[in-house]
Amino acid sequence: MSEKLQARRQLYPLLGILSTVITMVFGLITAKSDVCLAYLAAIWLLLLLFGYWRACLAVLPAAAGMCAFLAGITYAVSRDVPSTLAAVNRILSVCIAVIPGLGMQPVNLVRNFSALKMPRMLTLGMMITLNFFPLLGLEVARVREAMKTRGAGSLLQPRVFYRAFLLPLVVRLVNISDTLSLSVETRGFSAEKGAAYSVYKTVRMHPADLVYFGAVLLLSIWVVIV
Amino acid sequence: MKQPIFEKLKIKDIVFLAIMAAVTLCTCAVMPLVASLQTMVFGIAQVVTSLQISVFFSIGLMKVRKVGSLLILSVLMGLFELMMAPAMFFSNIIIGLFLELFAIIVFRGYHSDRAVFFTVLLFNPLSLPFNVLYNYLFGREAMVAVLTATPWLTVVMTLAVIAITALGAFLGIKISKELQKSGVMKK
Repeated sequence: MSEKLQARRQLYPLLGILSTVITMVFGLITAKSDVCLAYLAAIWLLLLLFGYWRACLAVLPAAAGMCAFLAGITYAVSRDVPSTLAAVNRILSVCIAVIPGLGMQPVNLVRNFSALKMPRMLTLGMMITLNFFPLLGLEVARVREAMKTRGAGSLLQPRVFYRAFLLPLVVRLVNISDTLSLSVETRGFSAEKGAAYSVYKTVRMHPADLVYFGAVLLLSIWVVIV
Repeated sequence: MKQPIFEKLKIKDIVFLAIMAAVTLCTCAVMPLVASLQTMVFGIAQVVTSLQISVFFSIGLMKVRKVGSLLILSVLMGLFELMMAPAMFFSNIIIGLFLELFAIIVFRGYHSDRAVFFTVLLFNPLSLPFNVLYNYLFGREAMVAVLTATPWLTVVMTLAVIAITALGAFLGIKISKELQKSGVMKK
C-alpha cells in the first residue's frame, strides 16, 4: 500500500474494512442486476467525497484494463451481453472495494485492533509484518552486495541462488528475529493473557465515519431491494 | 518422553512467524503479474506463489514446532490480503484451520519433519478447490469455464502446484536443518 494513495483524513479502520467486505459481497451478489453499476458508482463517489480521491483515481486505469480484458474474454466465451456486463460489475466491485484499504495507513488498523483489545499475538504480529517490508528490501540488497563482493556468480544458477543468496538471507532473518524478540520483550510486550498495555495513539471514531458507513449500508440495502 | 501436543507460544515465536509471513507476502507480490491469466490458465496464481509459501512456511514451522504456528502464518498473511482480496483471506483462514486439525489428528503436532512436510505440502493444493468453490458461489463464469475448458491443462497445473509445493517444503526443511546443524537456528 503506497503512502501516496493514503487519504489525509482516514476512515475509522474497522469501518473501512467492513465497508470493503460489504461492497464486495453486495457487488458480487447483485452483479447481474441492472442497478449494480449505479451502486458501485455511488460507492466510488462516496469515497471520493470522503477524501479518498487519490486511491479512487488510482484504481481507474487498473479497473479499465481488467474490465476490457476479462469482460472481453467473457464475451468471447459466452457471446452474451448481460453476462459480459455482470463480469464488468464483478471486476468493478472488487476494484472499488479495495479503495478504503488502499487509502488506509496500515498502522492505524493495528492501533485500532489494540484499542479494541484484540489478542496481543495478532496485533504484535501485524505490527512486525508491517514494519518488516522495507527492512527486507535492505537485507536483500545487502546479501546481493555480499554476493558481488565475493564474486559468487549469477542468481539464475540454482546452486548459487541456494548457497549464496537464500541461505545467508534466512540466516539474517533468524538473527533479526532473535534481536527483535529480545527488544520486544525488553519493552514489556507479553503474550500472557491479561497483561496490561496502552496504545500510544488511539484511533477514534468520528461522526463522519458513521455517516460514511451508514451511507454504504443504505446503498447496499437499496441495491438488493431494487 | 512424550512431547505435549499443545504448547504456549512465546513472544519470540510470534516475532519469527510474523517475519516469515512478511517475507512470504513480499515474495508473493509477483501474483498480480499473472492475475489477468487466471481466466485462461487454471491455478496460475498458485503456481507462481507455491514455492515461496512452502519454503518460508516450512522454515517457520521447523523453528516454531507448536500447534497454532501455521494458523498464525495464515492469519498474518490473510489480514493483509483482506484489503486486496477478501477471498484469499477466507481461503487462508479456512485452510490454516483445517491443516492445524490435520496436524493434530495425524501427527500430534509439528514435532516431526514429516508433519511439517505434509502440512505445508497440502497448503497450496487445497487453495485450488477453494478457489473453484468461491467462483462457483459468486458465479464467475469465465473463471469456472477455465476449469472445464481444457481439462488436461487443469490436471497439469494441479500437478505442477503439488510438485512445486513439495520442492519448496523440501527446500525449507533442508535449509532449516542446515541452520540447526550450524547452530544459527534453535528450536
